[in-house]
Amino acid sequence: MRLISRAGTWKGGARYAGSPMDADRDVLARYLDGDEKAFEELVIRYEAGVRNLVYGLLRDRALAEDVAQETFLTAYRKADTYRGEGTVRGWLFKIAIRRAHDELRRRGRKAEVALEEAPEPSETPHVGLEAGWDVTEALGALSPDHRAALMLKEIEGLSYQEIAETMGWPIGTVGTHIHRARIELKAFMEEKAHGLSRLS
Amino acid sequence: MAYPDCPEDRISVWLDGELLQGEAGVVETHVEGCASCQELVQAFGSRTLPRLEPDPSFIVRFRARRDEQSIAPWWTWRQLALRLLPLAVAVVGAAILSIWIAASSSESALQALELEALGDPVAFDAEVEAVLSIAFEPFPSDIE
Repeated sequence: MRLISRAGTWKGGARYAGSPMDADRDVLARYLDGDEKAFEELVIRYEAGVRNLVYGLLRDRALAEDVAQETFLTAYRKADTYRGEGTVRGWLFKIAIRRAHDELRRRGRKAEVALEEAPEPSETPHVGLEAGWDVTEALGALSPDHRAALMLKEIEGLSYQEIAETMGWPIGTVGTHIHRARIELKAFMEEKAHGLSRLS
Repeated sequence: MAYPDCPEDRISVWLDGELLQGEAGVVETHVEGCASCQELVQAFGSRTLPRLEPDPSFIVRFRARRDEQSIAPWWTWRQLALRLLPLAVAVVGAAILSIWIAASSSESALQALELEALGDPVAFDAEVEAVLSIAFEPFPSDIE
């Protein structure tokens, strides 16, 4: 859509030229101008981030791949829905979270609980520094909102503002979710460490 | 400002660098003198979250899936709509024109029919006058 990029603004009216987030926006603008290859740059740049986020929410690697693919296909089809508010990365994460929540709703809690009870054997354990517990397992004990907030912060490095925009929360809620997630992880790990010390 | 109790919820925000400078300084001072909060800071930083590494084949699968589903880029439908727009305008214009022509011709036909039914207006007027004069002729009883 030439008119959008020539005018230097998105449909929402926000300017995209000259800001620090230009790289992604320029790539998206090129795609909106008809350069189909430009979209693939975004896929390459954010596939790991989107998969990480979705995997953290669904805890199923195959499903995370599927949802991540659907996330990019949705963005590919509906790129014009990005209105220049927030980052392109945040917009992609928002689509991914919506898709992951749809998947969770579709499969119901039953599937999630089953996954939590039986972690994938192929998964490389991510251990804490203090003891041999599996952080992946600990993450499963968190609510999806706490998990998403923590992952967006600690893995993707989003600011509270970006997380608030992505999740549609007030900024204060972001801090609360992240804090609670950390406290719950800490409690889970302590419990695990206590169990291990009792066994040995 | 000092905290009467340990500001646990603020420590998390402080660690993320999201506190304003003034409050960040207060939290930092508290943590320096509080063993319990130092333990919390250590616990928060003592684990790493699971992270999937970039997968170079993801893009290959993306292309395959896109092509398999025949998903068109976002602009395709709009381009198609723009191309069809003149045709749509022409069809609507032609429809309006034909309705107008039909309406005009039916009006002319109606007028012609009316004229045919009424015949020559001068003759018609004479005929009306003749009928009226007969109608207003006095009855023979009135003459008597």
